[in-house]
Amino acid sequence: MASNISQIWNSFWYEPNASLASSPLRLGISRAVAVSIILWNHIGTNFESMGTIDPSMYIPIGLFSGLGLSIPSSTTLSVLTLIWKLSLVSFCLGFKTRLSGAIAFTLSLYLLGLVNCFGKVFHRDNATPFVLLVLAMSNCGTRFSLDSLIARRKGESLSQSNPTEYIWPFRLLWAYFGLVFFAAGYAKISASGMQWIVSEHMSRVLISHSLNWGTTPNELGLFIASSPMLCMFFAAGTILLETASPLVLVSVWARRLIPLGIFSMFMGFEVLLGFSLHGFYPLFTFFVPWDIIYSKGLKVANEII
Amino acid sequence: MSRNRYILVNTLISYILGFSLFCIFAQEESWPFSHFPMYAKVYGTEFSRLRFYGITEDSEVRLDNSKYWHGLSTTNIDRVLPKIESDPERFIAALEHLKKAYFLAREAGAHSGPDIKGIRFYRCYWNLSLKDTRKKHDCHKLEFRYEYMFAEGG
Repeated sequence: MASNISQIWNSFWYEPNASLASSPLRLGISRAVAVSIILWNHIGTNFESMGTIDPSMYIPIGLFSGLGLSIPSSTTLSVLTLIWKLSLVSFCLGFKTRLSGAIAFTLSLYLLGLVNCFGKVFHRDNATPFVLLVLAMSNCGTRFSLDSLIARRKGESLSQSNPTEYIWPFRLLWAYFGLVFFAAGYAKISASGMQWIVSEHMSRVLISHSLNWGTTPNELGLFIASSPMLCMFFAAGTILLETASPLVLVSVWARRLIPLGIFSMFMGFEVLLGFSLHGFYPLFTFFVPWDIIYSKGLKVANEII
Repeated sequence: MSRNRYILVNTLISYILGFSLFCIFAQEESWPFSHFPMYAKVYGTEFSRLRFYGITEDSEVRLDNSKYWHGLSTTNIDRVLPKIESDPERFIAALEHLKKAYFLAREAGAHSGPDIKGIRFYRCYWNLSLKDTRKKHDCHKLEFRYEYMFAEGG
């Protein structure tokens, strides 16, 4: 029994199959794209001003109270921000990949965590530390990186013959993706049941955004809010997509359709509610077959030349 | 994959999956883990938020934008103040901080608000009805919550 479980576990997390062939190149490009998105999301983020906030407003999250962390000075925060952004650039380029990944992960946990220590836990950046942690622990720097170029010049090769190293990072980030959206769907069902779909909730959410924040960029949100059928359709679609998201782990079709559906839902939030969940965008990059796109791109480029 | 690395990777997988599942089914928030409860509770017909005003010589000016608060968002203030109002000393320190933040943000060029003598907070209630929204109605009820006048020369 135990050996059966161990066999299933190993086969799921480590064995390449037709839907996910072992590909250091795919992992390398995914790293570069995901970290570029994280960098883009935070290029203008300034953590320095948090250093001026009075301790009376500090309500630390569990991670910070557990470690006994307090609000650092503005100078410390600006230095840490600079190191964080430099580590992200280095990680994106694949230079000293393991070290820069470890620094990028640790500082993302600290800086993005600190933002949540003032009365409100925001969810927009939850995925960032996980993406950085999984990538930092993987061998994502063996291809499509400065490290691999440097090694090649020295006549060495960084790519490992062991294909298992290039499977688990994808599987784990797919699992995380599935859990994040399943959690959101499950929270809605357990808190409100079918009322979330059949009541006026969706309409009221759309109205509240246009009333309070004035962030709704157009009248489309209010148009949908005025149609009970459309509201019900979007509410049911949201619950269906979110609760079905763990299927990405077991079905090739689900890996094609569900991320696309959730990405479209995010675009809908931007248009209808006027806010962005950009912190989750890096997760989508792990569903894209970058190695195939790269090879085809290279072939087309060669033909043109 | 070496045995040590195999154990390390399996520990990482188990930790991420195990703690995520715990947060989902126990409905726990432990950042960066979460059960992602945003918009999960069905909205009622009324909706409220804290609204901020700066007190000038002869009027009030609305300050409900994060650009006034140097590092804090209006959502942070909305959530922190009710949580600490039972502790008067801490509450006054927080309001004093908001005064400092307002002038720091102005100094940094984030806004060009007037000199204010104090801050006033109201809880603003809206009816979540399309009729009111289309008429661009403001909140239907403004309930006074707190007022903090700055010390002279402070």
